[in-house]
Amino acid sequence: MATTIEKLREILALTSNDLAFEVNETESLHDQGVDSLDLMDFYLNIEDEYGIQIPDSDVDSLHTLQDFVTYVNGKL
Amino acid sequence: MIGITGIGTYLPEGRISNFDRLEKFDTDEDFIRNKIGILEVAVKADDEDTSDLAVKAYRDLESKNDIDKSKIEVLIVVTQNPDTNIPHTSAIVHGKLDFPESCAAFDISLGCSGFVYGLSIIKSFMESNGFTNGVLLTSDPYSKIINLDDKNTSFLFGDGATATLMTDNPVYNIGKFTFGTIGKEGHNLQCDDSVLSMNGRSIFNFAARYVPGDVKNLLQKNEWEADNIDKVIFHQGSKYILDTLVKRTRLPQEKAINDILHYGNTVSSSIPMILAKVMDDEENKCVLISGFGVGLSWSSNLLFRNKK
Repeated sequence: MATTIEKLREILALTSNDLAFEVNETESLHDQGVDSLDLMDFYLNIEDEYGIQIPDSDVDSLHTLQDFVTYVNGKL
Repeated sequence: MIGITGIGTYLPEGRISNFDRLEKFDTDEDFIRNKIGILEVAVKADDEDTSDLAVKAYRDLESKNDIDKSKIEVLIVVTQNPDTNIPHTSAIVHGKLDFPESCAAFDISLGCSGFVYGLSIIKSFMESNGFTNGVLLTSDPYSKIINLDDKNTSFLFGDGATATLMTDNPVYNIGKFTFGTIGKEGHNLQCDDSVLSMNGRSIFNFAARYVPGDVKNLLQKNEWEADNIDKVIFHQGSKYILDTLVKRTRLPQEKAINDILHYGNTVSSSIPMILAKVMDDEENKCVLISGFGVGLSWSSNLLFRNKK
């Protein structure tokens, strides 16, 4: 069974295929080339995959892949 | 039955280049070209108002169709940026075009879903009153309310207008509609003190979530298969939302039209601006149109070419 980090990389690959398995977990996704529109898609796909809602108020704290792992695990 | 007989369009000559603003908004050409999908937005002249754009679209309609102005029974303008509050813009247009006194004229306050809602309203109005000649105009120049320093909106919206002739001898018959509203999310695309603000993520999520289900409902309601659609015209929000919707609706990419590269998102004019060209090809027998946005609201329809 895929870990959360592996699953998030698969989800990221839906829109940023060339970056999804290259991005560093602790560096800002935006700084690593994931643009704002692909980030919006990423949030949406995470919501669909996990059945969770990511309110706008939480978005500002989600910068790195590790941030997303912590966030998703906290919601499950 | 009342349907679409012809469409006239108007795009102002002025353009604002998105490439000229890359440094200002800390972005790059690839983002503009491949994600936003809009290189430049159309902008009206300072001495053009909403009614003027509508009049010019009607003049284009006149040049392409045999219209007896004295027989026009209803004129509707879809706009949320009228010339003024009172009188309504359709009355101003009526005056500028010297339409007959017997002609009804009223406005519809809707944005990106406005053309599709407008089709339902004008069709119903005409059929219930026994009318056979009407004109549905869309004219919503957002340049009046865009803050050019707002990256969320200034890359996207362009000015334009369309005029759709509705008669009982149409090129396209109109199928069954779907409609919807989420009023409690309307604040995500709002104009206050004449300045537009948009929560891009909320609007993206709304479209990505609701439009695919709406398309499915539309096909069921019309008892029609997706394979039998010839062209798909989604409201032209941006290239990114168009690509996302094609993916999520699983409609063939080659059937979905993207035409905003050189003028931008013209709000309620975005669908008819494209439909005007689509209807010239007789091979386009069934066209799906889907408008969504301000409200938040949505409406979709299937158009069926009249067999003559």
